[in-house]
Amino acid sequence: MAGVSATTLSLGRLLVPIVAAAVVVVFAGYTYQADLRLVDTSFVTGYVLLVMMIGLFLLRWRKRLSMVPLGRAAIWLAVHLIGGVLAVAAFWIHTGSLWPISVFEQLIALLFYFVSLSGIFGYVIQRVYPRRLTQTGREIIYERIPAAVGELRAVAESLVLECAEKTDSDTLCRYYLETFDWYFRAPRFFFSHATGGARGEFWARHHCGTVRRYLSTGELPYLEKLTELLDAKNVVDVHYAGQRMMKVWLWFHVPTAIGLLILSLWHFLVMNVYGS
Amino acid sequence: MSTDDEGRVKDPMGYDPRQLFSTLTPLDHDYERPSRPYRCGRERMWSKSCTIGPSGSGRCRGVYECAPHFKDGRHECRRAPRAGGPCANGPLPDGSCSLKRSPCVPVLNSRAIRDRIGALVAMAAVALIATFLAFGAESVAWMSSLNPGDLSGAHGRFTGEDGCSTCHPPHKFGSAEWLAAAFSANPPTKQCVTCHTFGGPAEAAHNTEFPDAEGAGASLTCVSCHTEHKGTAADIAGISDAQCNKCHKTRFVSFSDGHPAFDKTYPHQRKTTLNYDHVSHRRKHFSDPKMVEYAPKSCSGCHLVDEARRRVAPAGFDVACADCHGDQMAQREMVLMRLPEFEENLIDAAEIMDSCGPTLEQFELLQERLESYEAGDEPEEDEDDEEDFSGVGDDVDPLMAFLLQVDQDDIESYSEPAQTLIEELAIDGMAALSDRIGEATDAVPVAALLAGLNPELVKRAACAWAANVEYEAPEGAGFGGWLGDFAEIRYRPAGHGDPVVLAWIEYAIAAAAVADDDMIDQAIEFRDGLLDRKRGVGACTKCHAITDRGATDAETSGDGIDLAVQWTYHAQREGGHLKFNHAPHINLLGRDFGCKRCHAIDKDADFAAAFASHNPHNYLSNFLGIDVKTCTECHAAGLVRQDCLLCHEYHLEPRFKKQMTAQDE
Repeated sequence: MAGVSATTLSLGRLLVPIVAAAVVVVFAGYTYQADLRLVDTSFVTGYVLLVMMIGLFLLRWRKRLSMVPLGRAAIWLAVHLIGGVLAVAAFWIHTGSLWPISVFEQLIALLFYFVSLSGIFGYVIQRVYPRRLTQTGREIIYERIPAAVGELRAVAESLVLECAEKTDSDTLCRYYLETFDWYFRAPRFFFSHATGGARGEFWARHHCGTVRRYLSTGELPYLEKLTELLDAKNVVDVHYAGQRMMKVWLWFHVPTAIGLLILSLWHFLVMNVYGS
Repeated sequence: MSTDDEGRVKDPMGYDPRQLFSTLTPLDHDYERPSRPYRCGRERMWSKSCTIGPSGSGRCRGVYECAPHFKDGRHECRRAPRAGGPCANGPLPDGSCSLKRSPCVPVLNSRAIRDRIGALVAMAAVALIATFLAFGAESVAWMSSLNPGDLSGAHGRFTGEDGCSTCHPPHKFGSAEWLAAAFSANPPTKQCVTCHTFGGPAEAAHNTEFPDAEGAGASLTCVSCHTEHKGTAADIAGISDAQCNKCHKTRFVSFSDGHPAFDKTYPHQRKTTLNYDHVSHRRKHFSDPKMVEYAPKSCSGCHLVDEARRRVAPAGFDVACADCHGDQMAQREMVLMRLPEFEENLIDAAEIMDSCGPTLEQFELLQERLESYEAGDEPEEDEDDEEDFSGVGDDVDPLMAFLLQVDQDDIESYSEPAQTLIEELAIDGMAALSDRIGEATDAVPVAALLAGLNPELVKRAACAWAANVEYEAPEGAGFGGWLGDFAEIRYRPAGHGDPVVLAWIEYAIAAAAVADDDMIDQAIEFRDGLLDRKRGVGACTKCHAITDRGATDAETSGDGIDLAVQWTYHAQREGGHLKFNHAPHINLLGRDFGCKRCHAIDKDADFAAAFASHNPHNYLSNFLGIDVKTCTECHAAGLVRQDCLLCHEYHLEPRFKKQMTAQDE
């Protein structure tokens, strides 16, 4: 049964791009044939493209109206992805070129390409980062990251104070103030974590190794505990970078899509007044 | 994690960092939900947020840990258990919370930030549209949202003061009408045809009605092919071979692969306007030792290859023909008037005497009688006053027969009208002739017909004929033009293209065309006499073809009434959908002998037979037809262009309705 399911899943995944490609071919074929018959296809392709863009935009409202049973979000997302790819094809069929002539249409094209590319970027992020976060072996809610950073910082500070009090040595305490304090103040090494790097981890190990040789025997257990905290902080930082990226790309994708839709509606109106 | 009063973690060594990742649910704060737009501002400092959280409008509510509740005369701490439960200090005496903190500045969550950016972008887009609208399509065209691109160079200058509304009438509408126009059809064809015109309906394929064609009712507009606003350098007149193939029933891959064969006689279907037999000239005349020095050495000897376009016109008579045929025109005279033979003299001699004076014979007779009187002698009586009256010809000439509406060879028919005309010419002058000429038809001005004819010549000749004597021309006459000689007034052409000859031929053709049944025979006799290849005036029709305009095809000739002489070479443009330019071909193949590459002489063609008939559709060129393979030697895939538009034009006779360029005043 497992084999059958896997095969069915593979076929299902293949079927979608095949159907999408078929739709593009049929649509392009229709416009080509219409063009041969000297039929102006720019309006038909324009209407199709506009309807597609509006359809793609509905995903935003599907998220807002999560309480309304409008189908599974995963299906909506899949339709959004396929529709996005088809929209790019429809855009090229509509414009007949990669880059239009007039400034206003160039602006529309610029927004369209930006939305498309940001969408592709977002799709890649949504495929890559969850796996990468899962590999940390830990989960944390994005909204709790500030509290987690604050808690780790408080524990770390308490730890080095206790170390100073109980060992009569301020080596670890002073080293903390000079290095680790910066690390615990906020999430660090964002771009390293966002690009899959491990600078944060190397940084912590490097400094732990550096300070270890100056610590007394009594201080070493505190350093070990501090290392635990540093590791936990690194995991938090990885989650922060990943989840932040998964949210921030939408700051570009969605607003640009809104602007694109508004400019496209104006373009639709102007073309119907002047071009029909 | 428990802390002491100073905020220190009580047992940091016993702290397990894994607990950070283990409590996913339930939420510590109800405002952790993504739908809540604001979050505690302490998160900005990467600290734990308060448990209450900001209000929906973004106001901090975490200054106090709790809002103490007054119960049974005392205030009770109501700090939530998830925030540590009731504090040790409890509320202050005034009932306020003892754990007061500085207020924070709440932060927006990710979705709220996205929504705000979206709102900003939406406003920016609307502002952008307004800004682009503010730049009118005419003033700063490149900035206008109404302008999808520059017009092509051909159209860019012709919008004038009307601007966009030249082609888009809604542009000048009010807002409501402008919006309404979005829901109505505004095809610009109506505006296109204010300047453009074609040889047929603008919206019909090829400007031609094809009632039997498949999809004949399909509507075409100008923008079906000509899409504007693609930049000044854009080619907006393009149509692909595939588009041609879509409608045409005969479909083929390319010109070199499947194009239908040309007609066997292509491109020599149309009768030439000149009866010039290339074969006989080459074989017979150009090889004649007397003529060989005048013979052209190549095609360019007679044809204007340097001015070649669709046609390669002959260089003209003076250059191409005059060396051999230059003196032939003057040898073919036209008789304007000939004194015929009469049986009876009906002319009033006294009136002629009054008007013309005595003839030389009469003068000598009178002188003799006067001398006799002076000498006292009795003059001799005339033996016979009724003398014989005779002319030099047997009958009246064709023009006179036509003008006088008489039978040319019936002496009883023409005798009186002809003598009347002579008498009138002698008494009243040339008006008697010009009036009759004008009455027959006014197609050609009489002034053109009788240009250069001296009235005195006519009067003198008429006086002589009326007095039954031959007219004797003065010494030195006969260099050409009008001349009187014995019993005739004739016109001798000065050379090729003589305007008087042309006028008379056109007059004869027009007169035959309008002649009534009673006179049609005389009119045709007169016309055919002028048009006769061997005897006709000026020998014009020896070379210039005569066309019967009533002929509809090779089998259906006209009635021979409505004729035309082809004075000029075919017009440069013949209309239709075919175009060809000789110039680049001549340039490539050579101006002297390159023509032979395509135009091979057909030695066996009966070229002359076609000109025996006036049917323009009855023609056999003395050049072989061109085979499509001749063209595909060069015009083929990977070689020279072979697309449909290279040789065919979509539109039928595209023209402008008005003057399109400014004129200097």
